Amino acid sequence: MREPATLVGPAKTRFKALKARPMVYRFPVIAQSPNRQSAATAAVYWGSTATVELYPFNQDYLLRLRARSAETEAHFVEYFNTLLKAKLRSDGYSEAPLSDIRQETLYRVLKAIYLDKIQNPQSLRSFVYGVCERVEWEYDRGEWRQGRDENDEFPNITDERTTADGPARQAELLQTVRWVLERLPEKDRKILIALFMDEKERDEICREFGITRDNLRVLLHRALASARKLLSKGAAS
Amino acid sequence: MRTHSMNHQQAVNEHATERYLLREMTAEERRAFEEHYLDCADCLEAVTFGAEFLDAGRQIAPEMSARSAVRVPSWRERLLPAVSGWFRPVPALAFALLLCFGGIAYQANTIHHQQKKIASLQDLRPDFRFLLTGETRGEARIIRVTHNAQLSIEVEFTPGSEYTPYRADLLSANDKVKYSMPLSVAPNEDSISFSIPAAQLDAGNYSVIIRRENKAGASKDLASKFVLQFTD
Repeated sequence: MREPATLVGPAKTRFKALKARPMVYRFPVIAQSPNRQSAATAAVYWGSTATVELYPFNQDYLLRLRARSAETEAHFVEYFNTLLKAKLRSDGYSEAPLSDIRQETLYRVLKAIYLDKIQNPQSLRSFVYGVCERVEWEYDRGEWRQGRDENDEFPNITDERTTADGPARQAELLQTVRWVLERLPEKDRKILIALFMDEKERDEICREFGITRDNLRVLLHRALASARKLLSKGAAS
Repeated sequence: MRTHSMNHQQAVNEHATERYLLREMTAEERRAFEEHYLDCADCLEAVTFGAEFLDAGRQIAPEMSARSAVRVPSWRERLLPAVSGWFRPVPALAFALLLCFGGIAYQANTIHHQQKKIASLQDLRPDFRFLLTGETRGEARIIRVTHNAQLSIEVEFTPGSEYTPYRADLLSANDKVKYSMPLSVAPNEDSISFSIPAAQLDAGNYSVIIRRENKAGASKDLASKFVLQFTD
C-alpha cells in the first residue's frame, strides 16, 4: 500500500497500466525482496502489498489530504482501514461495532486534518489510534455521538478495498489460508477453525482440545509463518 | 496514558503479535505494543498480516468446517483405529490367549496325530513277504494282510546282462501310479523287492511294473498283478 507523491493520471489509465502488468500478487516480506521499493521512495499505487507498511507520512501528505486529493484520500482510507481493523479485532469488537468505530474514527481524523489541527504528520498513526480509543471509549459507555455533519464532504469510507487488485489478493489470501489449513494435522486444523469462527472463548477452545494457551499461540504462529512462506513464494497463485 | 513501552526484541520474545491477535494482552500491554508497532515496520506488517489472515480464516471457516465434517477417512485412517485396538491391554491379552488356545488345539489334533503315526511306524510290526513271478497273465495273486502289517513284495524277473537302472511303479486298479521308486539291479540278481506299510494302501487290485531305463529312453515292462485284501 503506497501513496504517490504525484498523481499518475486518471483511474482508467492506471487500470490499463495495471492490466498490462502480470497480476502476480505477493505479500511483502519485509526487507527481503530486492524488487520492493522502500516506502520512502515509493511513488506508485500498485505496490503489491496487502499489509500495512511503515508509511512515512509528511507535511505534503497532509496538504494533499486538505486539498481533498482523491488519490491521497483513497490511500489514507485503505491504509487506516487495515490498521484499525487489526486494532479493533484485537480489542474484541465484532463486525458491526468494528465497522462503526472505524468509520467514525476516520471521519474524526479527516475532520481534524481538514481543520488543520494536526501539526506533526509523523505522529499520524498514533493520532489515529488515539482518536480510535476515544471513539471506543464512547461506544463502550453508550456515549456514542457521531459528529458527522450532513454538509461535510468526506470521502466514502467503506470497508471495501479500493485498489483494483483487491479482489485478486483477497482471493489469494483465502486460497493461502485454505492451503495452510489443509496441510495441518486434523486436530490443529479444527483448533484453527474454531479460532476463526470466533464463537467460543479462547479458553473454551483450549479446554475442548486439551491444549494450553501457549500451544494455541504457537499453532497460530506456525500457521502465519506457513502462509507467509507460501505467499512469499507466490505458490498460492 | 502510556506508562509502559516495548522494544522489538521484547515483542519478538514475548510473541507479542500472536498474543495481540489472540487478545491475550492486558490493556496496558496492548497499548505498549501498539505504541511499538506503529513505529516498527516488522511488527506493523506482522500485526496487519495476522489480522488479515484471521479475517480470511473467518471467511472460509464455515466451508472448511463442513468439509472436515463430511471428509471420507482414508483407508489408513479407517484401518488404524481397528488395528490399534488390538494393542490395547485387554484386547491384546484376549488375542494372545486365543492364539495360545489355537496353538494348543493344533498341537493336540494335528501334531499329536502325526507323532502317533510316526511312533506306530517305528513299532515292531508283522512283515508279510510275497513273491510275484514275472508277468502274470492269468489270475492276479490275492494278498491278505492286516492293516498294521508291513507288506514286502518281491518280484522275480531276469535282469539284463549289464548294470542297468530300473524303476518300480505300483499302480492302482485305474492305472494310477501310487508309488514309484528307482532300483539298481545287478546282472546276477533275479528279483527285486520293496516294502510298504499295508495301511498306506486301500484294498483292491494293484499292478507292479518294472521298467528298465536305458540310454535310448525305451523300456521293457515286466508286470505282476495282485489283489490286496485286509483281514482286519
